[in-house]
Amino acid sequence: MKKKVAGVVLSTVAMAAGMFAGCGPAKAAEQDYSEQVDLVFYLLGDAPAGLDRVEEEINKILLEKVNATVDFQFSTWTDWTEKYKLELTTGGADLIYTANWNSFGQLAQSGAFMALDDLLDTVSPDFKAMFDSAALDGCRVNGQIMTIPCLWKQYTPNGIEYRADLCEKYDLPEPDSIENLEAYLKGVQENEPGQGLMANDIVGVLGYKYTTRATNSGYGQSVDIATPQQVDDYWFSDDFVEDMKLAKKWADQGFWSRSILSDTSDAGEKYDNGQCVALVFGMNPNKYATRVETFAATHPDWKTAYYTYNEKDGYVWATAPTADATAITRDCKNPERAMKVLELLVTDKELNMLTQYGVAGQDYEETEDGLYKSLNSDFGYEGLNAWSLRNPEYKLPNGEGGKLLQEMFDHYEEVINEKGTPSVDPYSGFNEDYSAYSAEKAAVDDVVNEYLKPLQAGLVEDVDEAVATFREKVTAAGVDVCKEGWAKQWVAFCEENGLK
Amino acid sequence: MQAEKSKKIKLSRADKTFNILAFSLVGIAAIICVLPFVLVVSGSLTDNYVILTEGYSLWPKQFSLDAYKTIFGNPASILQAYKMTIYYTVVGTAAGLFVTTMTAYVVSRKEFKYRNVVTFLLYFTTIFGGGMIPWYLLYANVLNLKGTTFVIWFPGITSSFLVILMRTFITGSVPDAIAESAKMDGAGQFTIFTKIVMPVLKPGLATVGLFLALGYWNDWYRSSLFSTSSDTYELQFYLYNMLSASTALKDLTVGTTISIDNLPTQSVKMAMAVVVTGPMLLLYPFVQRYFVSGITVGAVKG
Amino acid sequence: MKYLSICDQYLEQRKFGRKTGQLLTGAVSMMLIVCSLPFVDWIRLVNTSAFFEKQGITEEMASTLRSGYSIFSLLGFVQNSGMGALGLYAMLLLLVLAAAWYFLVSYIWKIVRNRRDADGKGELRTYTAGKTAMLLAALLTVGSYGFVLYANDVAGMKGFAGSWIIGAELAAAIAAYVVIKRMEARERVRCREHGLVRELQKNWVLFLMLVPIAVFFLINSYLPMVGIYFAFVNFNFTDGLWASPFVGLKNFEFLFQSQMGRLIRNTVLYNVVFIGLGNVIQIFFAILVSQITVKWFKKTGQTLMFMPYFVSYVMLKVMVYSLLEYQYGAINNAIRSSGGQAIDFYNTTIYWPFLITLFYLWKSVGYGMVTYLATIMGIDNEMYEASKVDGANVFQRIRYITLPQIKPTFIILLIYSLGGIMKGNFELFYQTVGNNGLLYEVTDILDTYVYRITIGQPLSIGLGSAAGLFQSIFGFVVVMLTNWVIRKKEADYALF
Repeated sequence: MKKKVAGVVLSTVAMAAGMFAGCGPAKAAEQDYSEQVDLVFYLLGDAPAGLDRVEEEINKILLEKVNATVDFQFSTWTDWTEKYKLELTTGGADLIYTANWNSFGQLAQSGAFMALDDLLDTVSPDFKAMFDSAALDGCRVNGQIMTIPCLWKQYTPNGIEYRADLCEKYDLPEPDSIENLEAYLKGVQENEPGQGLMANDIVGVLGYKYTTRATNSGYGQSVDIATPQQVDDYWFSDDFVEDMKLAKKWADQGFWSRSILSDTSDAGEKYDNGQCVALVFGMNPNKYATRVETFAATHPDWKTAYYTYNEKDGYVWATAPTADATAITRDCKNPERAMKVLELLVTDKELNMLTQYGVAGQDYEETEDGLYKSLNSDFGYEGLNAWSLRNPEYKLPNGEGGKLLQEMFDHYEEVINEKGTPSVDPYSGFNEDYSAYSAEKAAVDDVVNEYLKPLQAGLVEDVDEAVATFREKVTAAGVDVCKEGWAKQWVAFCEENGLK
Repeated sequence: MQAEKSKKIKLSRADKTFNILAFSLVGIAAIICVLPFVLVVSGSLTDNYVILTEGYSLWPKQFSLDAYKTIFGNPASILQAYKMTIYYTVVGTAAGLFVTTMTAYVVSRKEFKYRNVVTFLLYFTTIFGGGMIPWYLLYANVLNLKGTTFVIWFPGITSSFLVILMRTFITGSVPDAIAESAKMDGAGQFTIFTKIVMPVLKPGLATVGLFLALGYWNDWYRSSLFSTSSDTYELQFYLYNMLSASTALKDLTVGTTISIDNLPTQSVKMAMAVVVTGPMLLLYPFVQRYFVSGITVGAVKG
Repeated sequence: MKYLSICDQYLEQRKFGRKTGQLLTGAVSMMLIVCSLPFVDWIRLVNTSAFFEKQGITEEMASTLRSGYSIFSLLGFVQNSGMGALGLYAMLLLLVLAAAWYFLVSYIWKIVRNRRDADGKGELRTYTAGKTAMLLAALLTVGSYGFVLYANDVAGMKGFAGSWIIGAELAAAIAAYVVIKRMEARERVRCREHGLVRELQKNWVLFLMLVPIAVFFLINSYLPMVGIYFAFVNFNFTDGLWASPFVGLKNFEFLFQSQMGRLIRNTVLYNVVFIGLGNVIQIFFAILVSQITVKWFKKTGQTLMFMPYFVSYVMLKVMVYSLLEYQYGAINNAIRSSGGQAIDFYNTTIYWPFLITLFYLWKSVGYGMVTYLATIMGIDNEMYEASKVDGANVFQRIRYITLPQIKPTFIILLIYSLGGIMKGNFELFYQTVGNNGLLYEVTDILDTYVYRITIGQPLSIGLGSAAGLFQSIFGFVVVMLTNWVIRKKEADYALF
């Protein structure tokens, strides 16, 4: 207990210090570069074939500037989550790519990374000044900055991808609401019997309905943006029953396969091959932009379109700052140098271009309208997978798809400015710590798999009965304990960040 | 005389019934077993789009070599992977056969007082394990073998199961009396092992050798953990990782902006199986000799 | 030296010397057991207030801590004080204590029973147990003292002190060891047996031949076994692998809060069916193939049956799914076109036990058959020829020659599969069914469950290890029992 209290006190002090430091630009402390430092930068994915060549170029510059080298090491894509954990557990890396979709919150809470507040102030104050304070705040865990976000602002608002050419052909409405989506799917079904329609169940579709949700807990609680401190109980609400009835209705109409729960094939691939005509789950502008290019090449007569669920409410937040970030591991022996190297890799144009595109003239060239053009070498676009190092100032969109994506991003920015909504999701910094109720959580997760998933896929006989069973089972599994624990942390988070 | 004759006829009738039974059952089983593989081969030669939309068929509906083109897209890398896998398989199987047989010989000797203790210690390893993390730590951090070829083949050279299996082969084919009499003639243990036991152990060596070789040929896990450069990749890992890359990137792009590449996944999966299985199928008949020769029954011999 | 010879004389001359020696050492054993009971403190805490402050132990925590510790309660201290770095050491001590107890009790039991073993080994087994017990007891005391040193080193101050009991135990154990060793030496002469040194001299070549495997298993299996300890910790990155807080059996409790009954039932039942049916069918086909006289057919048949081994479960799933899918699946298409009612395979539990068994058999028969086939090939041909001359038909030959000859192989395979009776074939279940909650009732096994709760959880090392340890212990018990039964019935076939 005492340890914990001390931790909180410490972090509060650190926060306060951070705030004061934020008042005026701090000055970088003089660094000693007399000794050469060899760092390891651990990244996800496969090493590019031309790694050695590019690494050599990078290290030439780094040695000259800060007397350091970087050895880029890769997880490969096979079992990458496991190996990422293993790398952190057994130590070895200095700099490491982090992401909220790769357990960043839990890892940071458990102490896998170094707190960076002081380092940023003493080693790289100019670098720190380049970030939105909101973005840095989003990277705080227990009050301390644990990772450095990506400078390039991205948008990944969920939405639906659908076939605009079919809308045109059969005169169907644009699926901008649940009703219109239903009409669209029905229209396709009537005109092209036997055509597959959706590859996901109802969950994605509900994105239309709940556009002002700040978050969902894993225990069926939901929070509305307007009233962030009020936690509602979705699973036990009438809305839930209504939604599950919709799922049943759609399933009965054959909108998705009855074998969907065991289907492990990729929904996007089905869409690419015309086996389904709507993608409603886990979609984002980047996937859409990529597909526009794919379709142009494979099915020029098909046309895909994207509708963002919550655009009309203006809550198209930029992607959470923790989605693409770089941290310094707790085992790092030379955190100062690591921080300096990280700063250079992002801010130095030559270095940054090397990490992203390789050697100019050998691996790539810039087209007249500022796009990236591959020269088909052994080092491709963003070849090091160092996505967290992307710098908007030097970024070259990847061909036409990249251009389209940038256009969409600009559009979202406009929407945000118009509606005056915050640009960074103020809730993205929330990390649930469920260690106190992990057994209940596991039990609830299991009930969700066994009783909720079939409901969402509309595979039950009687919805009311199945909902009752689900509620009974999930209560027995201890969902109330989880709900209480989660709500407490959530409200505390809102309080701390002044979200009312 | 008469009685003798009728008995003989009766005998061959039983044999005949059995033969018909054996032929038909083995035939049916073989067909059931090979059908899915035919689907795999056909799938590997079919256009990915056709597989997805029309399903699998015994003969490619729309012939396409795309899957193989994808796999051999980088011929130098895949040839290197083949080369390394052959290397691991040969070195590992040879070392493994030697160690396995030698150990099996020791624990099969009745005069060895501690053979039960040793057998128990061997068996214990199959039941209790400390998990991957300490195992990895030992090889990678303590012994500092990450990135070497040794660490890819060494952990697979034997298992307690193979040792015990070999023990049953030895006790089955080398009666104690033979070993004893050789000892009387002044042969040392090692001589008995190499000169008397090894030569009569062909089916056993073939079986254990086959299991070892298959183990090496099909392994990808050790490359996944220990390979630091594509120069030391095992074939299975090279192929498997290609698939993993495509699925991983598709999953990842939900929360962030990452470029995606497209693979004809279904047909590539099938083609990979063919690419991996091919060489093993060529090898199998050579090993198989030891499983199918030996017995000659009934008419052929008579 | 002088004392030793006096001891020897005593044991030799007096008729009841052996008895006295046994009585004495037996008494020492009793004493050692009593002294290691939980209420005898071996290790004391000193400088408590300074020590607690340095370790950040609060009043609240301190109230649950006692001042003296036996090996038993030591782990309680580790848990309550949060000094995770001591956990592994304390755990190892407890293991040594358990082993010491086992041999101490067994020694006393053997003395009391006082039965000379029938196989001409006299009382040698008794003395081996006694010697091992005393060595372990000595190791325990030395280890305990080492613990005090180590713990003080970790704490960075003198917070622990050893009790005089440690020294007393060590002295008693060494003395008893010497006496037993002398008694054993006499018994050896009587039974014409020899000890390890003599065995080493006699069979040094055999020992030498074991060196490679010893090195291999030490590196590959025995050293990494320290990982079993992770089953008892709650891992976090701040403390790292070896100093994370020790949480006792909490990880196991967590596992058992789940639907453990269903998981165990599914895991064991599937394994029983796989082992039973699998072996029977493998033996059946091995015999069929071995008896086929046409060579090309024999070879091709066997090769083809081996092919499924190369088709991974992932591929199998893809093909099976395209067969069984509700709307477009080949089977349902056929049923519909013949006017029948489509079958909802993926939402109906009843089909899956059969389907999964079928997949398993399909994939494993060809591979598993090889072992039996090779065993049959190893059978001396003359036995068959002789039986043919005697007029035995093929069924009789199989019944009286082939089956008895493959029995040892069968038993070995059986014992090996029984060891994994609680371990499921993860790939088979996960790849063919996917994460389909509707089918959990009949397809959820321990391995798929553990995968589900640990995937994406960076801190779940403890849970995974706990599940693994549970599977191991369960399998171990089953195997020891099976082996014991086999040894009673047919000693030659036992594994050890």
